[in-house]
Amino acid sequence: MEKEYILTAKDLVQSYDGRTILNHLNFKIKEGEIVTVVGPTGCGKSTLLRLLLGSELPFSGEILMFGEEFKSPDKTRGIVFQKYSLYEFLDVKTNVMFGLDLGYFNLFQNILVSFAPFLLRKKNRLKLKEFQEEANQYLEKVGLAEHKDKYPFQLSGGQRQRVAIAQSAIPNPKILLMDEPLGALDVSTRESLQLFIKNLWQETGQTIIFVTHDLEEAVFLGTRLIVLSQYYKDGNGNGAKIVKDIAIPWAEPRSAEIKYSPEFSQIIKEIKQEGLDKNYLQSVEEFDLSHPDSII
Amino acid sequence: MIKQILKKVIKWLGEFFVEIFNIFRNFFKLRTTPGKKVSPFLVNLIFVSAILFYGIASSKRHEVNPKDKLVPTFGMMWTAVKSTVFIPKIEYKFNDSTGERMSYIGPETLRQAISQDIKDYKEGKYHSIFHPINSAMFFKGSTFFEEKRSILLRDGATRNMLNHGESKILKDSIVSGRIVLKAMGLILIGIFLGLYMGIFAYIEKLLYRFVLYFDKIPALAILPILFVILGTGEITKIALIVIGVAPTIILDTYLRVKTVHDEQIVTGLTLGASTPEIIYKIVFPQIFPEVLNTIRLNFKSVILFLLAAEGICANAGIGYRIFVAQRTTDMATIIPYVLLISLAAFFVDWAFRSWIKSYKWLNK
Repeated sequence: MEKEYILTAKDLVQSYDGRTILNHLNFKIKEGEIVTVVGPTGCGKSTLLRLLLGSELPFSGEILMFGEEFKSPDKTRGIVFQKYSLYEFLDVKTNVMFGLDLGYFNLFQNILVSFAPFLLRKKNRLKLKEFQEEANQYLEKVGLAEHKDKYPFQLSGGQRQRVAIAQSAIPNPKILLMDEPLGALDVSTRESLQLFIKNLWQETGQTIIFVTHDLEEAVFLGTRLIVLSQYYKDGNGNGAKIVKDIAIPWAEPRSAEIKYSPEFSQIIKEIKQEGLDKNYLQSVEEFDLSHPDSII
Repeated sequence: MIKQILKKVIKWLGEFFVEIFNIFRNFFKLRTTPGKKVSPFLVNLIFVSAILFYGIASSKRHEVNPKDKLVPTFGMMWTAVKSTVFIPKIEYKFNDSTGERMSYIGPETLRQAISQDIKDYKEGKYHSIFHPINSAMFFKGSTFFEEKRSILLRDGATRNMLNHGESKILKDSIVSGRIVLKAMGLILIGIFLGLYMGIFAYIEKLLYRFVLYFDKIPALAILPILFVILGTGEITKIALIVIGVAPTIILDTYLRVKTVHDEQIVTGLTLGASTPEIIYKIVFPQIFPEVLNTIRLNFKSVILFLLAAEGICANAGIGYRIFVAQRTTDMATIIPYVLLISLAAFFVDWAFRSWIKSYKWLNK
């Protein structure tokens, strides 16, 4: 049954030094969803993402990918960080190509690729050319074709994130995880990149888990919204719980006023009114959990 | 036409004087840049004035005492340099029975020998010195390329002359240069040690404390032990340099690896990189320019240890020559040698700096 779902989290708990960060999270993610995860600052969104990525192991509970556990980051899950996703020492096209030629060439061939590609065997030379063309095509899709010979430090913040998304999306991971990729950008760049991600998703149907602290961004981008909250009681944190797991109705791009059903608007309004701060939730049970895949 | 040139000259001079005026006006000003015309002047000012001061001081001393050896004039230095560089000693052969000197047919000076070699090379007699086989000249002990190598290295007029007679400065440079090159080769291994220490936690646990302690041992203090264990040959000097410099390089590389963001490695893993790829395609290229910089800064210690070891026990080498000349207060030899070694170090420094500058992504 779990194999239907691309990712399943069961009773996920994470704690550092006895301090619980994530408290029994349960969710299942289907293929083709954009799941946006929002929550107040410091509630453990990034921790959740690291767990999903595999760069950190959970304290208890398990995460299954197609019904199987994983212990470290691998090729099935791509990641876009807010910073440091790009390799500063490589130019843009090599950065994008990085996910393609890794694992294909051995170390000696890699040296040849970077210093004397004409010494490669014909088969490998053709393969390299293929990779380069694929990277160039992707860069054109991203709208950065004229910047392909630049280095990351020569790009603006928005362009860097576009390259980072291209870099992680090009090897076709099963899930693309994004850890506040637009967090450091200004408003207009942010909006254009939101559209870009949405278009990318529409074109490829890539499953995306998008972590952000901006509720509007989350509602605009996602097909499904997971709201985390930190539950504080007498100063003792019990860790974040999933307080809402709802499907977001489809909305046209931001140009027009977004029209959601009155029920959904009401839920969003509620969340907004309460604010995404630490004392946002007094009792978990008050909220209804309307997403069909949510299990608490 | 002349009017235009005059106008240009006057304009240039005007700008030049304004820039000179600005030197005094802006000397202690923050956030300013010297003009382009006075910059070369400022850069070379102290060099030129030091040389001038030395020239005047030495000539003044020689007016009082013409035999003064402590502050040799430039003429004396030139003579000393010529005796070490341009006029190699030629061993004449003597007839055993009569004791007469047999006539020497070859070239008398190094310059003549080189020109003869060039002439012979143009006639197609020898390989070029830039031939890849000949560039292996440092591995003199190997016999693999012996035949082809010998054409130039053994039978050429220059080589012949240097094998007889000897140009002191060339011989010293080769002896010292070989030690430095071998030591640097060993130090390069240290880079990889540091790299692996930074990446693999177990290797770090195993080595870090040890290297940290080893780094604190003053290398010169164990020089006597090295002489006793390894003898007085080339290997002792190499060992001294490696013991003195390698721990610094290892620790520095280790620290550089530690500054690589974890995100970079995680991203690499999600893109499908294997462990060697993480090391050599993600971590190493990032830290390499900084490691080069560390080597550049430590090159001074390399020379320092070289001179220290050669000063104590050697039969050739730059340090040896300086310390021998010191016994006879032969300043006319010491000063050119010091100039030579500092120029060599400056050149190496420049080469490393331009290498580092060639990494475009560093020039933010």
